[in-house]
Amino acid sequence: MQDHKLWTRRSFLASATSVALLPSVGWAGTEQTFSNATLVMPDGSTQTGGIRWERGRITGLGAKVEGGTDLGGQWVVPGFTDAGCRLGLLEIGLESSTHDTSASKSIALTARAIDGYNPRSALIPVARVNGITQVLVMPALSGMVPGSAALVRTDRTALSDVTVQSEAGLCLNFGRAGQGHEGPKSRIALMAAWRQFLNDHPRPKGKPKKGDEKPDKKVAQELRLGKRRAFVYANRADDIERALDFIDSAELDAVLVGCVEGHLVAKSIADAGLGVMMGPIDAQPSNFQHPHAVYENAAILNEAGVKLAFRTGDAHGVRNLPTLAGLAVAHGLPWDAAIRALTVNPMDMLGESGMGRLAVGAEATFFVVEGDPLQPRHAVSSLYMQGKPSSMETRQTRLYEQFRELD
Amino acid sequence: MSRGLMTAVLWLTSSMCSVAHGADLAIVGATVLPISSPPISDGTVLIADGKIVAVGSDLTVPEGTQVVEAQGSFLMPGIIDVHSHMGVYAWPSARAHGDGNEAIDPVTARVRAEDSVHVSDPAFGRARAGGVTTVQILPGSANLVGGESAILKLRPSRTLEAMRFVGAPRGIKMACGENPKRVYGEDIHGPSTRMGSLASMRAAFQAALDYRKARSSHRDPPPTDSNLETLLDVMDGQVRLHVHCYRHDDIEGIYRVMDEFGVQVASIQHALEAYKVRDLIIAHGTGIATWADWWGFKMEAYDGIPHNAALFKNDGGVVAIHSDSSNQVQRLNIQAAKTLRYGMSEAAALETITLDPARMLGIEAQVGTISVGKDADLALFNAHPLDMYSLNTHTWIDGQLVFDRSKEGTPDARP
Repeated sequence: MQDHKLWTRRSFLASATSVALLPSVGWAGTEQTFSNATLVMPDGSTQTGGIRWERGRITGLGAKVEGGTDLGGQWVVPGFTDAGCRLGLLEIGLESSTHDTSASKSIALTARAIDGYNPRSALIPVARVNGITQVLVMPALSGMVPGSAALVRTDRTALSDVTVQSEAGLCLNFGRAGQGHEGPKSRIALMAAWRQFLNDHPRPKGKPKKGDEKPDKKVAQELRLGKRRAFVYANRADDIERALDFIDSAELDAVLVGCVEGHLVAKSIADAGLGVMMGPIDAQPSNFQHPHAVYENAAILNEAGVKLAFRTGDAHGVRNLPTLAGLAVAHGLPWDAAIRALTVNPMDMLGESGMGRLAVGAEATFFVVEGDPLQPRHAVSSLYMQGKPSSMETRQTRLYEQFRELD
Repeated sequence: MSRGLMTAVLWLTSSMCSVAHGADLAIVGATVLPISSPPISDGTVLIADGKIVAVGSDLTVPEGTQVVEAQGSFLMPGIIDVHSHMGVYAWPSARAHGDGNEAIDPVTARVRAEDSVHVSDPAFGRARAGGVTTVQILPGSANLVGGESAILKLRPSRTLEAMRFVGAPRGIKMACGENPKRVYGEDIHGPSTRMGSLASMRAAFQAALDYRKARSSHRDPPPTDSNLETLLDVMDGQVRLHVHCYRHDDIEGIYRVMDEFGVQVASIQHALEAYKVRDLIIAHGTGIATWADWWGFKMEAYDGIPHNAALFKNDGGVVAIHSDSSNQVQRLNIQAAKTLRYGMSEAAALETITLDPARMLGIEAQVGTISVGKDADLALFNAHPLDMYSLNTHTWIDGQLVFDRSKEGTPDARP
């Protein structure tokens, strides 16, 4: 036990310092190789082999890749994606002065999470050093249309650099969430308001009309034409059913979000061919908004053939994404399906086929860890973003260093 | 005493016990994690009259004993959560179930959590399914003195009486920092600041001393005041004090007040900045109850770091990983597992959900380890409990099987 303790501390320090010593310029352009690693492949299988990368992209992968740094069996895992969180939109939970989570109105077609995103937030490195390298940042899911989500990388600081998709899709809320910000006061009123919304924003036909160029009109029209993705948030089973009807009748290009009671309507979701950004994975039957929450939700949806991604919905707790995925595994989700839900699936749902996977030609964004990345005891030892070693320092590691020895 | 000799004595004692009394139940073949001693592979635990009567690797099971075959599983002491609001904020969460904060006055020492506990809260069953056997139910942190805690065993029950942990010392909750300020900041009487909070605490303890003096004088003694009676019990050491406190200087401030009145602090609850003043806390003989990695939800939680528990434990402190949540309580073993990567040893991580919380509550003579003479409160996991994929399969309280996953899965908690 003592050995383990020392190892943890030493590796933790070693990784923090070694990264700092590496040249920050030139890495992206130089060919690098790790060999003798346990590779986590896009299908969720593992295989022994090496990884080679150059100019931010993977150039070689598999058993034939040798040389470079021998990882001695350590795992190389593609960076995980939190498919729905508030990272970067707030700093302190109860301090509203630090919140930029919402446009605070029921229908905010032109609001964008990216406009509230602070890439220098202290929370972001905390998520990254736990292997979360991309996040889909959503505005607070309150009101009918809280605005557009953004896909960002959890490194670097310039907004233009971190942004992968500034408008990854428009968030649409069903159930109690749709009633926020002085919106409709019941599900009955909400559904009436959604029908009115479709009426107000018909699917465009023929030549552009006067007023079509207005920003909110443009967003609505793109939505109706299926040119703008919809993130449709619903948790209670009946809300999911209403959302499915809505998606079908409005002919949206949609992904379901939340879906805490999805297991009750798994077949309908599968038949609709929709992907699900599921979570919180540990949602409880603790209230009347999702009284049928079960730990087996992910396992049942997966069994029904639904493509899953995982979301925390959190900000400070984004680092718990792997552990929460592990919880789904403990309750019946195959491990490989959990890995896909953290890696390839969210990127495929977002149309980023060159991210979130170890594959030749894909972005070299991955982390090295001593074993199964879903085990809480396993710390990420190093992390590479588009081929460059990333700092393992956070506000928290600095505090740790400051108080590790007391004076 | 050498470990070998100790084991031999333990074995002898337990064998004699088993011969003398027989046993009602034997759990056989599991890797036993006694906490008080190293793991025993292929171990046997014998139980009689709700107590552990033998623990070892080579025990003879008396004839007629009910046997649970547990090969491949891991047996640990029932998990203890020192900070729960189950029952006082019962599921389903609804305005009508908000019974945790008597937020009418900053000092409500007289109220008791047991008088709010909704015995049928389905969260109790979910916690039991996570291997939890004992909990301390605390009032919330709106008040400087929130009231007395209830220490319960999670026996399936229709009455509070049947859940009571008989023999557990009384406990009381106090709070400082942001919460009382937020709740009473608008009130003309406050407290609206940290200094106001500590001044009110001093005033409360001083009022109790004045009351005692007045009561002991024969001329016109004041009527019984249950608030002040309870505070006197705290000062007399009859009630263990658990203080909700985050920031390091708030912890220091609590000692300024408590040292002045000679009050021992049993635990700092949440204690996110304990790592900054761990020497001070350990010197006061106080334990900390904290989360593995929750942080940032308010200003005083911004400096919370996941190394906190390990730093404190490795310096010799008593650490409980607590839940403060009817969700987290179901997986305290996984919360404890998170501390491993921040410098905690496996043995220490298991202590944070068993022996250390028992010490904090003053019930370590009855529970917290798998040791002869202790209550047979046990949790059986299908893999090592610090493994992400492990699930508790059986829970026993006082030797009674209170959860069997093969029969009921995760307990239904639908409203």
